[in-house]
Amino acid sequence: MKTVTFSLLLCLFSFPVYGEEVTYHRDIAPIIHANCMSCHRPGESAPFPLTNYDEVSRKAKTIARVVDDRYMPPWHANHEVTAFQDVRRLSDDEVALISRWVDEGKAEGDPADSPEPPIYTEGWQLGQPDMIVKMALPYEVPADGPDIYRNFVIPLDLDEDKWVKAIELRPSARSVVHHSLYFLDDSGTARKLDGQDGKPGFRGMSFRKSGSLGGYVPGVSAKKLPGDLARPLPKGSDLVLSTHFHPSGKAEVEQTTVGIYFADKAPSRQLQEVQVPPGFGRGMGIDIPAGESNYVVEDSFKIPVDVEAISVSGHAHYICETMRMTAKLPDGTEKILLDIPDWDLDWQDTYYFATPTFLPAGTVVTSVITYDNSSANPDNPHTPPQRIKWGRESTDEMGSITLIGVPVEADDYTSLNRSTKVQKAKIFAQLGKELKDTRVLDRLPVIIRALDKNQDGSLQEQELPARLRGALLLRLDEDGNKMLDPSEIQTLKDWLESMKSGSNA
Amino acid sequence: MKQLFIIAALFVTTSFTLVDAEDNSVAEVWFFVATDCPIANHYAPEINRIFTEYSERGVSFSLIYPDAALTGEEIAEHRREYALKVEGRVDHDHAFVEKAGVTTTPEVAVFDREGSLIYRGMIDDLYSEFGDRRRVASKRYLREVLDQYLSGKSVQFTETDPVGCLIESIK
Repeated sequence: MKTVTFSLLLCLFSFPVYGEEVTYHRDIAPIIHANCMSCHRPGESAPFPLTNYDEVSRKAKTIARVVDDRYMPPWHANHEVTAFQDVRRLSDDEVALISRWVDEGKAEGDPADSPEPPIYTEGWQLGQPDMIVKMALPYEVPADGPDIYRNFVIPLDLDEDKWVKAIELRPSARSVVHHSLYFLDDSGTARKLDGQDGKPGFRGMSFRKSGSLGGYVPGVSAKKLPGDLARPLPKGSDLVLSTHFHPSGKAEVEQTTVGIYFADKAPSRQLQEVQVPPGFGRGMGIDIPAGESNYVVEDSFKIPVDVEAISVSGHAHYICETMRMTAKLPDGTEKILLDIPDWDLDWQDTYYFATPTFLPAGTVVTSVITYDNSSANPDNPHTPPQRIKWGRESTDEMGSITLIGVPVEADDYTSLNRSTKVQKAKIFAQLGKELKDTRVLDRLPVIIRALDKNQDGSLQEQELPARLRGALLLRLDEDGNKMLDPSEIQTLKDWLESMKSGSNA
Repeated sequence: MKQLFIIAALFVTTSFTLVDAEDNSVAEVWFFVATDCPIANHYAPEINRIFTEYSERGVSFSLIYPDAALTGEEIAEHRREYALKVEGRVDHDHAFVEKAGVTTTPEVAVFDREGSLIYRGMIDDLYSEFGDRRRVASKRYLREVLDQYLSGKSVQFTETDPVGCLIESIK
C-alpha cells in the first residue's frame, strides 16, 4: 500500500499540471532515459541516438508516432495480466505527454530540471567473462532482401561439465543483428551442417538441440540467473548461435563475440523446460489452409510436482497472431502466465516473472496459439496465401510456449523431467495412429535392427520401408538430414517405453 | 486493326514525348530520405535499381534530405556509406517538402514533363506498418507510375500513405 501511495504522489509531482507547458528537461528526459537510451545511444543497436535534447527533438514526431503505435519501446507481452521484470512499456500518460510536447512545439525547458542521464558500463556489462569465444569466420549480410535466419556453430571444446549463469553477446554489426538465440548441440550434427552451402553457418530455424542457454534481444541487458540457478553446459557441447538478421540497406559483415559466465558449482535445484506443445508443435499436425484467418493450436500439460516458474517465452513464425498460456491450479484458480495479443516474430523475448510463480503439483498449463493465413495478414510470407504446414523454414509454421522453472523440492527434478519426456512422446501419437497395429509398435526395436542393413546404427532413407518413409521422417528426423540417426531412434524407443508402461502419451 | 491503331498511337505519343523534352528529362523523381531512418536506408539498393533502370529512359532523380541541420559533407558520407548513385541535396527551408507535400522519409514525389505532380507516397508496399515488412513488395507503386507515364498513357495524380520516419517541421 505504501508503494501505491508513493507512486501516486510521484505522479502528481512529475506530470505537469494541465495548461502548464511540457518541457524536454523536466518532463520528457526522464521517460527517454528510462525507456529508450539503453539502445538509443552510440555503439548500441538502435538506428539513431536519443541522448540529449537535440537528438530527441530531431526525431520528435517519429517518436510520438511509434510510442503511440506501441511499436516502441518493443514489448509484446500483456504486462497487466502478468507481472514481469524489466517491462519496456510506456504508460498511457507518458505517451500522451510526449504527444503534447511535440504538439506544443518541443520546448526545451531548463536543463537544471533534467535528471542525470543513466551511466552505462563500457565493454562487458557483467564484467570479464570466464570464457570468450568468437565466430570462426565472418558472415556477409547482403544490403537488402528478406530477413535471414542463420545458425553459427562455435566449438567450446570443454573437457568438463559446466554451469552457465549468463551469456553476453557482442555482435560486430549491431544494426543488422536483430536477435540471437543460444543453443547447444552435443551430437556434432550442427558441425556437419556448418558451411555446407559455401557460407559460414547453416540456414533454417531449427535443428536438433541438446540444450538452450537463453538468447539476446536488443534492449535486454545480459543478466545472471537468480540465486544459485544455472543452466547445464555438458562437456563436448558446441554452442550454436541462431541469429536473425535484418538487412539494413548496406552490406555488412557479422562476426559475433560471446562472453560466457560460469557458476562455481552445480545449482541446488535444476531448471526444467516445459514446452507446450512439445517439439515446437511438431506433433500437433499443424496444417493451415490458405485463407484461414483463425487457425487454433491448443495443448495442455499437467505439472506433476510443485514448481516455481522463472520465465516464459513463445516461439512461432510469421503468420502467428496471438499466444496465451494459462495455468489452472488444483484449487480451480487460473493464472495467465503469458498473453501476447499481437505476436511479432521479430521480438521473441524471454519474459522473466517479477517474482517466481508458484505452481503446485497438479497444475494444468494450457497454450492456445492462433494463426492468420489470410491475405489480410501483412506478415503473411506468401502472396497469395498458400497452405502452410509445420516445418523448419521461416515460411513454414511452428508454435509453442516454453515455461522454465525449478522444482520446489530438488528431489522432484527426476519426476518432473520424466513427465516432460512422456509429454514429448505425444509428438508420435499421430505416427502411432498411422501405424495402427500396436503389435508393430511392440516389435519396432527388432524391426529397426532388421532395417539397418549397413549396420551403422542409423536408418538411411532407403533403409526405411517405402510405406512409412514419409511418416517416419516427418516425425523423427529432427535435423532434417533424411535419415534417422541414433539419437532420433532413441526418441522413438523412449516413446515405446512410455506406451508400454501405460503412461498417457 | 484496332490493335494496330493503338500500337501506332503509343509509338507516336512516346516519340513525341521524348523529342519534345527540352531538358532531356521526361519526368522528375524526388526521393525524400534521411541519413538515419532505418526504413529509408533499407531502400538504398532499390533506389539505385530504379535510378539505373529509369534514368536510361529519360527520368531524372534526386535524393532530398529534409533536415536543416545536415551538412553537404554528411550527405556525401551517407551516399558513400549506402553506395547511393543518385545526387543528393539538403532541403534547408523545406521548399521541396512543401512543393511535393510530403510528410515522411522515405517518400517519393513524381513530376511529369510539365512539372505537375503525378504521384506521391511509397516507393512500394514493402512496409505496411512500423516493423511490418513483407518478404518482397507486392505492389511497386513508383515503378508502375513511371511505366504508365513512359508508355505515353495519361496519368492522373495518385498517392499512397507512406510508412517511415516523420519529417520534423522547421522552426
